[in-house]
Amino acid sequence: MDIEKLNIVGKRSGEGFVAHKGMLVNALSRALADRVTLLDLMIGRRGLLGYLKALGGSNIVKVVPSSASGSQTNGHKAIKVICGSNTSQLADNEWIGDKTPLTLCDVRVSPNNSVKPNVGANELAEALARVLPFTAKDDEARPVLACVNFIAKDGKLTLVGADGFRLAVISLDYDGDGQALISRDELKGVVNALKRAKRARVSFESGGEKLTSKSLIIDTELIRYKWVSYDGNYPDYEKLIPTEFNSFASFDTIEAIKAVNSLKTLSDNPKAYPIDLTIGDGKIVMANPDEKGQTELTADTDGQGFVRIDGQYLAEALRACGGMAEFKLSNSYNPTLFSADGYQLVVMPMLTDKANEQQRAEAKAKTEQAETPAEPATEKPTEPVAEQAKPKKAKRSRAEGYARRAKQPVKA
Amino acid sequence: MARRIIHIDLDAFFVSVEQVENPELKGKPVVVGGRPEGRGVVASASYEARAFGLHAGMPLTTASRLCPQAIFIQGSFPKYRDASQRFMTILTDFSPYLEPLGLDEAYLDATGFESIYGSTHQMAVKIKQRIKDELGLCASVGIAGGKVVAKVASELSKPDGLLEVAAGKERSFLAPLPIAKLPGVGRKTERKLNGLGINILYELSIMPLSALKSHLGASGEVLHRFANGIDDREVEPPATAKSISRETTFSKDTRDRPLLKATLHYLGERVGAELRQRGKRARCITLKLRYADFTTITRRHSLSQSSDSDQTIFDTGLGLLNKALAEERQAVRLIGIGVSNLVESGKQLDMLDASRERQEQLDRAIDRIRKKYGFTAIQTGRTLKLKDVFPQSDEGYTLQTPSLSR
Repeated sequence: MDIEKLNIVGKRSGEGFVAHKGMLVNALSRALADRVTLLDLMIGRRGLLGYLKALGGSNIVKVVPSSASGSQTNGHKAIKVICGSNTSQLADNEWIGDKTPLTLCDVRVSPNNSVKPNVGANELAEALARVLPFTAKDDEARPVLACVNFIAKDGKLTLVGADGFRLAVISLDYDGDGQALISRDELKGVVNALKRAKRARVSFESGGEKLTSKSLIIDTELIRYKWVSYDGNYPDYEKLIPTEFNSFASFDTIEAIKAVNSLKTLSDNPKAYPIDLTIGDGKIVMANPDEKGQTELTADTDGQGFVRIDGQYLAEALRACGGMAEFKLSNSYNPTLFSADGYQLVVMPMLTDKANEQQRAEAKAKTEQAETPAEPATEKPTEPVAEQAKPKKAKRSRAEGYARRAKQPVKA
Repeated sequence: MARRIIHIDLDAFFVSVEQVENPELKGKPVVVGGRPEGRGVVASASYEARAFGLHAGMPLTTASRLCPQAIFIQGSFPKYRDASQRFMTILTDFSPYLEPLGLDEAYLDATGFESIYGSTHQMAVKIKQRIKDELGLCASVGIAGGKVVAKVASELSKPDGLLEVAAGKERSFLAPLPIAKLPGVGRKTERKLNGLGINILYELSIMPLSALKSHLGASGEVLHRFANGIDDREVEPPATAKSISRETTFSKDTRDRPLLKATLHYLGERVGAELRQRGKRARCITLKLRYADFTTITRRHSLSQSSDSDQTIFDTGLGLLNKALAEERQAVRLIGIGVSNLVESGKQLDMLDASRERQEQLDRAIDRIRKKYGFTAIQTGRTLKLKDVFPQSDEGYTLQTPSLSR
């Protein structure tokens, strides 16, 4: 991450500045860096924040460079902080220890600070929170997966996160173009900071260390966050989102999370507990593969389907979707799709004997089909064959119909 | 009906197997464990060698000094494993309630089998006879109402003996014995108990429980029960393993990175092969290192998804090794790798990477080749370096302690 910038509204006062204490505290508490550069001095952020919070007497803080001859600082560089009747000298590297991470934020004071928002701060925070858990934590072979992909095009800002087994995609309305890959570790603290921000503006910047460098900037009324994009090729996520399904279910995720938790309790290993999902007949049946437990959830369903999903993945997917969610699948071994209000989460299933058989049978059928001598070109396909060859998109549209109907208000 | 438990222990197992194979060794001081100048320990010593003070766990150099005329044999784990399997097969013919304890001993629940064999004593005699006839090995047998007394009885009957403790006589049988004879009393506990003035099991059995618990904690209660001949633990089949690991001590402490990597890869392959054979996958990889100054460290890493792939085990282990070696610059004495947090097979499908699938198929293909032609029939380039370091057999490389080298 580039140096974070705290934009404080205040007035210049000689070589220092005067600012509202509350604003300074607010900005410091939202900052992600551990060290603050203040009037060319480096000070520990947490220490400074605690100190300012503890100051009483006045809401206005004056920060000016201290005279070099001050006895309290032994002639070293220092700043003087004046708040009402309190005056203190803070030396360079105050509240900075050997273990304080070398992350910096710069304090900038200007008479006014206006940010023209182009996305909702809360919406952006929520979008990030729904994508970040699905980025890879420790995939050394594919470091690009440890990033969130920000793509701005066609009036949308799309955030994509994937860990090789799951893929989360969410879009927000946005005017502009750009793309940046930002490491998950650098984005973690931003979610909370954005939740507290009143305004947010997302922009992309070209140039930097390399000609091809790109940066993502998020401005809030108090802080400017800037990250240099990771240089790498992100997978073509659009191709990974399945489009053809054989079964569909719309259900309440709150109840589903309870069901998953109950099955987790029954499993032998709470860290690895697969869950079998069976869809059909207006319900979703969740069960432990060893038949220790089973729960049924009422759902709008279409078609029949079975799939095994890692319990932790299922719980995280349900939590990320929240409220009513749709779940779609084509078979036991292809990607499944959870979706809710413009949010899509692809989850890869676990391979079961049933899925293996299904896969083998389908492969065999394909081979047989390929080995069958071609029909004479003049002969028209018979009706059933034509039916069979149709893509199963029709079922999906029917499923979507269910969802649309569910959203319609009930007529009196 | 009174419970009857039989404890069967094969006498000087490794040495006896060697003596069956090579009858010239019979009646001579024989030590299995490795070369006398090596840094290993005695894995098994014949009774003739034991007369010189040799015992299992003693450094080979000490053993050689105490008994220079002893015949030192490297041994072979696969040979002992085969003999052990045949031993267990014999026991299962007598009772399905079998609890193996390592390779050479087992508990057998003989309750209710008197009607078939006449008596538990006769059953034990038949077991001993079959072991002698089919394996050529001598077994010591103890019979009692509980596991702990049966084990003590078989220990006292060694070599080639049979000792039955009548039902209800367990306490009086144990009473005159020194406390060290009781399973669970090690050197430390023995010293502690001696300090309390307890030298024989009778004294332990009459010691107030509260006083024993205050000195020994929870184990005090268990020892008190055992000393009174009370042991109602069931004979249970072995629990499924919770982890799989392989380790080896180098003949010389080493800083040689390629050797460390090659050994780690080989040990990882052995772990992976067993994992797949058991139809399990692991979520946690652990590296074990012992440095020249005997400091032992373990470093572990949890995988985001379970795996049974050799490559994943090695890559993770190597990552841990590199980190550990960056922190500590000492030479390495022992290296080991293990897997834990085992889950049933149920593979998480990958969305982007087909190479994992290919890697797993490759592992399975290699497993099939190795099953048919031996472990060293196919090797990865990385482990080839070991050819110059360890002796090779169909079963794989023979590492530092051949008698224990699986």
